[in-house]
Amino acid sequence: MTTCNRPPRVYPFASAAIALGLAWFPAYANNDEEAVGRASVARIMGVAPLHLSQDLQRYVNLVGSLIASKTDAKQTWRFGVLDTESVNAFAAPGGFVLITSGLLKQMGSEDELAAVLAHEVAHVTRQHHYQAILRQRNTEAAMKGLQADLGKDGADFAALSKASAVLYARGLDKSTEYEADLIGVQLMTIAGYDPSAHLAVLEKLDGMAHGDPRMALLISTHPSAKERMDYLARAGIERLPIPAASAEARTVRFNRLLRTVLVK
Amino acid sequence: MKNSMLAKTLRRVLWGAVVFYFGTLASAQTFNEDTPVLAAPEAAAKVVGNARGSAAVKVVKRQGFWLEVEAGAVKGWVKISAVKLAAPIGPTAIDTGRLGSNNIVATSAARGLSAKDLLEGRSDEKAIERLNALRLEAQQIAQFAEEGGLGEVKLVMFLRVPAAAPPPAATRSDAAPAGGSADSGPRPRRPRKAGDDDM
Repeated sequence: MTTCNRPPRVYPFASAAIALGLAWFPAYANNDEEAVGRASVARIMGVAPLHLSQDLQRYVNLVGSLIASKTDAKQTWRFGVLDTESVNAFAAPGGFVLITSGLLKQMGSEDELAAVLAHEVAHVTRQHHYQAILRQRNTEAAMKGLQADLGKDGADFAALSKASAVLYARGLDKSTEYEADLIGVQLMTIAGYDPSAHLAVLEKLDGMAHGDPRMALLISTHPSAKERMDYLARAGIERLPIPAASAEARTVRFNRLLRTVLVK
Repeated sequence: MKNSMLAKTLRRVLWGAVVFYFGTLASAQTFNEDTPVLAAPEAAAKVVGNARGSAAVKVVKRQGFWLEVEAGAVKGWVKISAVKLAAPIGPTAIDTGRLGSNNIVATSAARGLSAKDLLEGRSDEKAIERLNALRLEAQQIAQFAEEGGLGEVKLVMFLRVPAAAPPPAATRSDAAPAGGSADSGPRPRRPRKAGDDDM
């Protein structure tokens, strides 16, 4: 019992190291997210290349960046259009968002495009893919008895690329898709878009044939469109304000870009 | 000759029954709760009838956050939250339930981007430079918003994670945590710029 009287030992070096570590961690995390994101989008763009139209890429970047500007995330946001008939969109750590021209062709308005991009932006700000890769990485490290070394200097790009391919092929937990819908629809509303456009997108996905091979990956990695609509309804989407102002200017620029570039 | 005709007819009848069965399930939508059916898609519109919770309903179309519905002899508009859109069992649930959490079904897509393509594909690191070159300045984004008539909206009420999990958990093993419960589900991070005192 008397041993308790001894004063606790002080570890000045350890304290300093912890303080330095805490200060350094955010920078490390950001670099690591960027590394994981780069490997992920490189893999996706290796399968489906970026669309050649610079005007289209710029337009999607403008809509996406406007949405992203309403988050408090310190990311460098980059948006891209993939030239493929597949109907899908992807988010990757570090602020990357990709949408396929196949999905863009289904969009009926800039507000609908905003809904898709907002959903992906939410995946990034909530670190859904990054956390999934971290879990995967830790499991592998534990199994091999090795220290996880990805993301550090000299990161194994090939290993990260492979890990991300597995994640994007398998999809996230369904709960994260609902969460991305929930946050995304609020982000687009804050940016001034019509939140009911999110429901319009889901209706379109629901209306597309389920046997359609262009939809296969999206369908296998997401809850059904109707379940997502039910979820948003239960979350109280009808309390969000629908803007009264005219969307005419947006319709004009949307049609100019999408109809002329994508629909020939 | 006669036998093959009979077989053909039987096959048709059987397929018809299958299509009818799934068609019925897919459209088996019900009300979530007792709800007034209105003459127009607005809260102040005249009540034309009252629908009972769990009664079958046919959705005709959506407008904003309103659904035009037919429920028995009553036709009119209800709030979107009054109807359960996803059928409890149906082709959709079967499709989405195909993947377990650890099994990757490498279905092939048309030209493009299937699970198989991703798993077997290569990486294009150079394309990242093209993405980086697309970055925009804050001023360009602000101008784009202004031209599109988009002003920042202050949200006075934020959405909440619903208390109950989405319905068809029994049909999809990977759907159990979807949506989450009030205490275990993910909480959305509220966009900080809008009304931090509103929650």
